[in-house]
Amino acid sequence: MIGLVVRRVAWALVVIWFAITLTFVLTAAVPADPTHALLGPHATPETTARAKAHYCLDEGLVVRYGCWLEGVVQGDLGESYRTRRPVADILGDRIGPTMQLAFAAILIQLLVGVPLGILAAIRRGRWPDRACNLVTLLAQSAPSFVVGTIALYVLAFKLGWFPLSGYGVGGLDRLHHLILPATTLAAAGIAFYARVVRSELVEALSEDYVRTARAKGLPESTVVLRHALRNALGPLVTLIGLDLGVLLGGTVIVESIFAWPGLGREVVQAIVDVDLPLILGTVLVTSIAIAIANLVTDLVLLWLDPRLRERR
Amino acid sequence: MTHRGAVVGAILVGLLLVIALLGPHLAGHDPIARDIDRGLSAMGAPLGPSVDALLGTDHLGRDVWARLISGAGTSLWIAGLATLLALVIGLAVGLSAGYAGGWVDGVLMRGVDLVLSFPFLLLAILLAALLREAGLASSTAPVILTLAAVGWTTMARVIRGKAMTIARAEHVTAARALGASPLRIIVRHILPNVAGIVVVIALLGLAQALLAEAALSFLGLGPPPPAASWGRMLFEGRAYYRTSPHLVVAPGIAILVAVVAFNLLGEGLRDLLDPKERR
Amino acid sequence: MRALALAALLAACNAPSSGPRFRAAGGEPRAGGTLRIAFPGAVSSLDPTIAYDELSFYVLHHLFDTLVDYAPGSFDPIPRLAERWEISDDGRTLRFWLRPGLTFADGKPIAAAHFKYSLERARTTPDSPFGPMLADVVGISAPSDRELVIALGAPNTAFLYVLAMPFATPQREDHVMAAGDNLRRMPLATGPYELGSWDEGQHIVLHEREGYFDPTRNRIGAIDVRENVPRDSQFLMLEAGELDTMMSPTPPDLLWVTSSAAWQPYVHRRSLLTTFGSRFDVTVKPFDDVRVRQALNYALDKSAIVKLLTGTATPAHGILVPGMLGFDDKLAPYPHDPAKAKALLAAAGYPDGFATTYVTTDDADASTLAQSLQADFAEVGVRVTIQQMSFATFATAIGKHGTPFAFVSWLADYPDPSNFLDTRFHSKSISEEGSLNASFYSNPALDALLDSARAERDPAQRAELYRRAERIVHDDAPWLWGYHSIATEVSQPYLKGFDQHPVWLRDFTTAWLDLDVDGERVRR
Repeated sequence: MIGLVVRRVAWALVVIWFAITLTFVLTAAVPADPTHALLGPHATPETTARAKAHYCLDEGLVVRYGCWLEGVVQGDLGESYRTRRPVADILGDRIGPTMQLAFAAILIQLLVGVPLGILAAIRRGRWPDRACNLVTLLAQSAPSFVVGTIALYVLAFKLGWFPLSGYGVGGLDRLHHLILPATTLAAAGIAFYARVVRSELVEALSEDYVRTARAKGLPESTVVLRHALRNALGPLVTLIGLDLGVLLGGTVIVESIFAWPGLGREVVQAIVDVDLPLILGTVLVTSIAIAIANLVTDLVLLWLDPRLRERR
Repeated sequence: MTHRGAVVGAILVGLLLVIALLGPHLAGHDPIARDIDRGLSAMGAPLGPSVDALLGTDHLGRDVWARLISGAGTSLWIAGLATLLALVIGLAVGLSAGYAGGWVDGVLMRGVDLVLSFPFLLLAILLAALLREAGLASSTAPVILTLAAVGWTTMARVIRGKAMTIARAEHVTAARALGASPLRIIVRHILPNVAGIVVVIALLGLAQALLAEAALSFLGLGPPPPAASWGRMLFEGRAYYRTSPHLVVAPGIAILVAVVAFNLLGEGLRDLLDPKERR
Repeated sequence: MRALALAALLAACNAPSSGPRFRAAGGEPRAGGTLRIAFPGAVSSLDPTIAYDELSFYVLHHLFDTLVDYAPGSFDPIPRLAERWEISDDGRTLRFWLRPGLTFADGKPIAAAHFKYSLERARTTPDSPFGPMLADVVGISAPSDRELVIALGAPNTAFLYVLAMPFATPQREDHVMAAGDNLRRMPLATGPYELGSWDEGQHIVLHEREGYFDPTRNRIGAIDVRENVPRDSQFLMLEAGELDTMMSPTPPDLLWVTSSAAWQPYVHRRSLLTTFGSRFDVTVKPFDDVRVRQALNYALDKSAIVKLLTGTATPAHGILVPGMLGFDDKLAPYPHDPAKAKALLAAAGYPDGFATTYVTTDDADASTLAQSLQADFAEVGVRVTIQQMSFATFATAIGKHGTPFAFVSWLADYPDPSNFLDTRFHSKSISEEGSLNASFYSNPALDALLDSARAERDPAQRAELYRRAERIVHDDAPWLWGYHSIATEVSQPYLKGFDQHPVWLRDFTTAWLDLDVDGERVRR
C-alpha cells in the first residue's frame, strides 16, 4: 500500500515535470518578444537590452529553462511580464475561485445527474428514461458560451434572480454569485453522470445479490439505493477525478462570461500576452491539482474495492 | 428508443452530409460577399430574416443562410478531418499497446496519461496559438491539428482495451502459435473486431470536435475569416443576441442538431454492438 | 425542445428595456456619492513609472497630478501642480514654479526634488517604458523647494506634454524604497483621489483625498471600479442601474442605445488620439512602388469601414487627428475609386493584381476590418489572405521585416504631431526589431521637415511645417490610411459634468452625481 502510494507520487512528479516542460517549449516557440509587453512601443535598443538582462531574457533557451526550474524549486515562480506581480501571488488569488467553481460544478453534477440516472434506470424504457435521455443529450450538445450568455441574460438580467457578474463578498453572497457560472459549467457534465449511474444500475439490478435482496422482501428503494447504487460508486469516483482535471482547465469560458476571478481567465490573458512566467505558473498549479485529484481518486477506489489492491 | 435514436441520427447525419456536399447549390448567395449597402441597415445593423435573405444578414451584411449552408461544409470538414487524424493515432497507439501488452503497453499508456493530465483547453489554446503563428495561420490546419492532438487519447484508451481482450482470445492465440506475423494478426484478426467500436468512438468524437471548434472560436482561435464555420458564426454573432437573435439562433441550432445527430447515431450503434446497455 | 425554447426566449427579448431606470435629481453641483464603473480587463499596475496601458491610465489619472495638465475638453496645457512656467528663448530650458502648500496623500509636503526623483527613476528603472521619452533631458535641478529646472540637449516643443504624463508625478524616494515590490499596489497619491482598496483583477476603490488643493476636482466621493467585466455584461449592469457609466458598448448595444430616445441624450462621443490603418513594408515588392500603395489607398472603401464600425470612426487622410495642431483640413482622404486603383496597379506592372497576406490581431473589430479590406481589394484584383495573431505576436511581427502588409494602429501619448509623425515615419525610428517606423519608410526631405518642426516654437509656423509633412506621407502612402476612432460612453442621467477628455478620456474630475438629499439615486 505504502509502496503503491510512493510509486504514484513519483509518477505524479513526472507528469507535472512533463506538463511544465511541454508548456515551456510550446510557449518559447511562439515568436513574440516579451520586451514589448515590458517596455511598450518606445523601447530603444539600450532599454531593451537592459530589460532583457534584468528578466534573464538574454540567455539561451536551456539556461532560461534552468533558471526558471531553479526558481520553482526555491518557491519563486517569477514575475508576470504584464503586471510585474509575483506569479505566486497571482496564483494564490486565482486558485480559490476556480476550485470553488469546479467543486460546485461537480456537486451540481452529482446532485442532478445521480437522481436522473437512478430515475432512468428504474423506469428504463419508459418515459422518464426517454425524457432523461433527451435532456442529457441536448445538455451535452450545446456550446457552453451560448448556454452561459443566455442564462446570464434570462436568469440574471430579465428575471433578476442572480447577480450579473463578479465574485461576491461573504458566504451567502458568494453562493449567490456562484450558482449561475457553476450550473453553466455543470450543464454538459450532468449528462455523463446520469449515464454512468444509469448503466451501472441497470447492470446491478440484474445481478444475483440484488435479486436476493429483493427476494428477501426489502423495499425497492432500499434495494436500489443500498445495494445497486453501490455498484456505481467506483465509476462515479473515477469520473469525479477526471472531471476535476477537465474543470480546472476548462473554466476558461465560463469565467470570462461571468467575470469570475479564476485561473482560467487569467491564463487565457497570459497566453494572449505571451506572459511566460504566468503561463508556466498556471500550468504548474493546474497539473499539481490534477495529479492530486488522480492520486486521491486512486486511493478512494482502493478503499472502496480492496480487491484492486491485489491486482496491482 | 436507442434503435429509433440511431435511425434518426443516421437520417440527420445523412442530411448534413448532403447539405455539406451540395452547399454551393443550396446557398443561393455568396457566403463571403460583404454587402454594405443592401445587407445592413442605414446605421450598420444586421438585417432580420426577409424574402431576400431567409435567415437575415450578419454584421458584414452577408447572407446568414448562405453562411450556414457553407458553414456545414467547413465545420464538418474540420471536425471530420480532426477526428480522422485522431483516429489514426488512436488506432496505431491503441492497437500496438493492446496487442503487444507488457512494457510496450506500459510505455504507450503512460504517454496517454501524460497528455490526458495536461489540461485539455490549455493544451488546445497553446497549440492553436503556436500553430497559427508558425505560418499555418491562414488555413484551417491549426484548428484541425489542435483538435486531433487532444482527441486521440481517449480513442487510444478505448481501442487498447478492446484490442487487449481480443488479443487474448483463442483464435488469435492460435494464429500466433501458427507463426502469423504481428501485423497480419492485427490486420486480419484484431482490426475487424474493433471496427465497430471504432466507428462508434469516431462518431462521438465528431460530436465533441464540433463543440470544441465552437469553444476555440470563442477564444479567437477558430478557423480564419472570411470562411464561414458554425463556431465562427456563433462567436461573431454572440454580441447581437438581443437585437439580432437570428445570428445566434441559426448557427446555435445548427451545432446543436449536428452534435445531437452524431451522438444519437454513435450511441445507437454502440448499443447495437453491446446489447448489455439495452436490457 | 431546448432549441425551440431558446428561440422563443430570444424572440421575446428582442426589445431591450425602455430607458434609464434613474433620473437626475435636478440639484445644484454637489459633492459626495460613489461612482460605479467597470473595466473590460484588469489594471496592470499602479506604479506610475511602470504602468503604460489604457486601463491603468484611467486610474492613474485620478491618483496622480503632474506639473502640467490639459484644460477640460481640450489639448491646451494648463498649470496643475506648477503655478507657472517659463521656457527659455532657445527652447532648451524649462523652469517651473510649484503651487504653495502641495502635499502627498500622507500629508508630507511635495518639493521640486520629488519631480527630479521621479524623472530619474523613469530613466534608471530597467523595465520602465518611459525612459526613452526623456532622451532629450541633459539636466534636472531643484534650486529651491518650489523651483524645478529642466535642461534639454535639443529644443523640443512637445516636451511640456511629456511632463503631463502620469510617470512625471512627484514621487518620494523613502516611500518607493519602503514599498519595494509592493509599490505597484501602494501608490502615494498626489492627485484628487487616493487608493482605498484593490482586490486585484476584481475591484478597485478610490476615495477623494482630504486636503487636496482643488475641491472642485473630487466632487465625487469615491470611484468604485469593477475589473474584468465583459462589455456586454457592463451594458446589462448599466441598464439594471448597477453601473453609473460605461465605455464602448458593443456594436449592437451602441446601435440600440443611439436609437432609443430615452437613452440617446446620455451617449457621449469623443474623437480619440488614434489612427488606424495598415502599414506596408516599403522596402519589399510590390509595396516598394508608390503607385501600388496609392492604388490600394484608392481601393479601400472607408465609408464601408465607418458603417461597419457603427459610426465610431471618421475616415483618415493621414496620421494626424482632427482638431490637433498640424491637421490639414484641405487634405481629403483618398476617395474610393476602384478604376483609378486598377489603372495605378497596371501602371506599376500589376494589371492582374497580385496575391498577398494580411496580418492582423484576433479581436472582433480587426477581423471585421480585415474582411472588409479583403472584399475591397478583390475588386481590383488583389487577393488577400487574412492571418490573425494574438496581440503579443502581432506586435513583434510588425516591428520587423518579413511581414509586408499588416494592420497598424497608433494611440498617441500626447497631442503633439511629433508623437505621431516622428515616431512612425522619421527614419531615426527605424530599427531591426520593434521598429516604430514599421513601414521602414525613409525620406530625407520628411526627416528635415520634422526636425525643424520639432524645434519650432511659433505655433503657426510649426503647424505649417507639419501640414507639409502630412502632405508628403499622404502622397507617399507608407500606410493604407484608415480611420480615427471615436470613443463612446453611455452614462446615467444623474452623472453630471462628465465630459470625455480628449487626452485622458475617462476623466471624472469634472463630474458630479446628481442624487437626492439623502445621496440616493432617484427612480424615474
